Amino acid sequence: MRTDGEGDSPPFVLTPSEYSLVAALVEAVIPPGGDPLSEPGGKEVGAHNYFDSRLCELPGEEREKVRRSLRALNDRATENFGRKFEHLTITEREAVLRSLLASPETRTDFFELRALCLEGFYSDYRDPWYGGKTAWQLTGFGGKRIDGVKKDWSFLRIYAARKSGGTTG
Amino acid sequence: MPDFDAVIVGSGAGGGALAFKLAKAGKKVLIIEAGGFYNTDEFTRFELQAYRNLWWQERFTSNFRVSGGKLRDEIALGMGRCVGGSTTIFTAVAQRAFAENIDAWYTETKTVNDLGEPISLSDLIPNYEQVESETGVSKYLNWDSGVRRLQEGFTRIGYPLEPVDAYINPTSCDHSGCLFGCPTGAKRGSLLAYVIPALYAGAEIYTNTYVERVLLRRIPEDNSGRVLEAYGVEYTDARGNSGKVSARIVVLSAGALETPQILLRSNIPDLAAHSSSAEQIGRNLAANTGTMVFGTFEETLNNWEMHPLSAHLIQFAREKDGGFLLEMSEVMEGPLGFSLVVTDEDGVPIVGEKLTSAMKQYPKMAGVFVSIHDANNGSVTLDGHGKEVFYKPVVREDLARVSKAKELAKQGMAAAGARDFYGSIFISHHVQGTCRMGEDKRVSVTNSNCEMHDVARLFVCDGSLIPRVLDVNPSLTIYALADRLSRHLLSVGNTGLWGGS
Repeated sequence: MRTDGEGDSPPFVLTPSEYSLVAALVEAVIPPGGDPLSEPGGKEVGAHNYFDSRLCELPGEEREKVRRSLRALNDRATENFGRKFEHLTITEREAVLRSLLASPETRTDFFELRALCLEGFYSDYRDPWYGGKTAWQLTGFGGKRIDGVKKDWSFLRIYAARKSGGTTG
Repeated sequence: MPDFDAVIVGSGAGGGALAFKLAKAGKKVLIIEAGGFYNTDEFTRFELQAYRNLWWQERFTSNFRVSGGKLRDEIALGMGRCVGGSTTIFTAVAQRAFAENIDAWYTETKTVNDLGEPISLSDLIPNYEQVESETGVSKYLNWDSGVRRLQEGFTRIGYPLEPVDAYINPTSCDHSGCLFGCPTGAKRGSLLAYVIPALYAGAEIYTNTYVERVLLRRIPEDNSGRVLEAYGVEYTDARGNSGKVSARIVVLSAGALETPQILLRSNIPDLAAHSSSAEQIGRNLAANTGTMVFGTFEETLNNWEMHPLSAHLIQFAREKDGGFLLEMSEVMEGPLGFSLVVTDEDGVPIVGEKLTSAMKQYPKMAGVFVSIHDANNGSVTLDGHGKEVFYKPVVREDLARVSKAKELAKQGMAAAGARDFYGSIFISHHVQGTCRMGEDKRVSVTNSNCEMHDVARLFVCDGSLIPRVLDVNPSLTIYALADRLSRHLLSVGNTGLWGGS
């Protein structure tokens, strides 16, 4: 099992099984279009790596809460479909997520889990090595004070680890 | 000698305005702010950075848990955490309270004016006029594309929109948004209108500094029956070091969610032998519970180039007229904020293809922000580990108002040509009522001059004071209450507070 502080490439915090679960999660929350090159989704830009790096900066208690939610995601998938979340079809994954986001018992925890995925995409995040399209281009977001705005990613372990300067335009 | 005449905790509408007025009068003032200092040239349209720098992290009510599973709806509490507080990230709507809102303060808690008479709107007019002048309030007529589009529809259904009064200099606003700090300086939040002038007037500020508790000591019983007195605060600074600072008066202006927590962490209910007024700390939370309706139009609006909420439909705002207010247009100013709040029409946050197809339509969307007159039926408490717990029931009457308001919003939008509607989570930016003022100690925390019933020299100056929920955005009333408190503190009768005789 990986522990925080090792290595210079992700995952920094997530275990290998959590990492692949999060990759499946971001794919379910923000799926690619028919052609992932022209319409990338969360997994293509690296939202799962953003998720992992964000966990690095969370206090232990909050990190554990996220881990509990990830376990609950698998539990619900197994309960409803007899398989772990990452082995479900896209439709089944969405059904599991919707039920967790609709249920009053789990709603806020899964809002927060979904928020980590969305931050890793709609903030215009991309992995340091990714050169394809990103969310702002896909949604048409732009204009004065937006085009070319400096995006400082240096708070993320993934950018700090690569000493890449941590900014994009 | 105390270190300061006044230590003010929080720099939003209440704290900033009060700090300026006391500093200008020559008082030695310290502002302590939990968030960081960011000025006009540091505000960015990189949403993620703005949320991280200027906003409290996402916080929700715990209604389901606290109610033992009876209440199913939760409210996201979206507040500012930076110098200027929520006024740095608010949408700058400057609205005086209705006369019946202020009349309700006497009914609710026996709040009185300087003559001991029931407080009324006319008592606050000089304060409103003063702060409107200082913050440059004017009608906002320079509507963006989304509002102009919505106006066509609402006019068509017989409810034309009106421009809001706003803390905006219309000549310098270039529609670069409000929620991430105003990058043009057109918005006159507490930062520009009061905090920076307060610093020029000699006030000091500690930023990224978290107040743990108020320092209290026993005193011989005073004329109001108080046996406790505040003499400073204990804090933790950005490096994690703790410190103490002393002052002649302590003012809590940390907002209706934080101020009661500071009082509870200061152990006031125990120290005040669980007096009825101390037991009121953190109760009576109201939120102007809100939500949004988004509609998709044929043409591209790019409605993130906006001064959000520049028009409203106010005729249903009074409780007796329906108790809901529609303000527009609102699409959260960027794809991240929008993706976070957007739901299907059943209120469930969307994911997958539904989400990505909604996001593709984002440039064609305009939205209506709905807020309601809700009840003072919530609370802010600390659990056994000292962790905050927010409870704000969304009750049947609230849901009925929200439903009516959303229906009207959709009608207006549809008449303007919108289709493909989306909803949002419940959200509040207007928390109020958790340390109410008034003369009836059984139902209030401070007296009508904002000083705690149980603790001398300890004042509250923020939305916590508002005894009964307002029907409109509360910031102007909070500014006005700060002006009113400053006049009280600087009055001849209060020279004793400052060490005079």
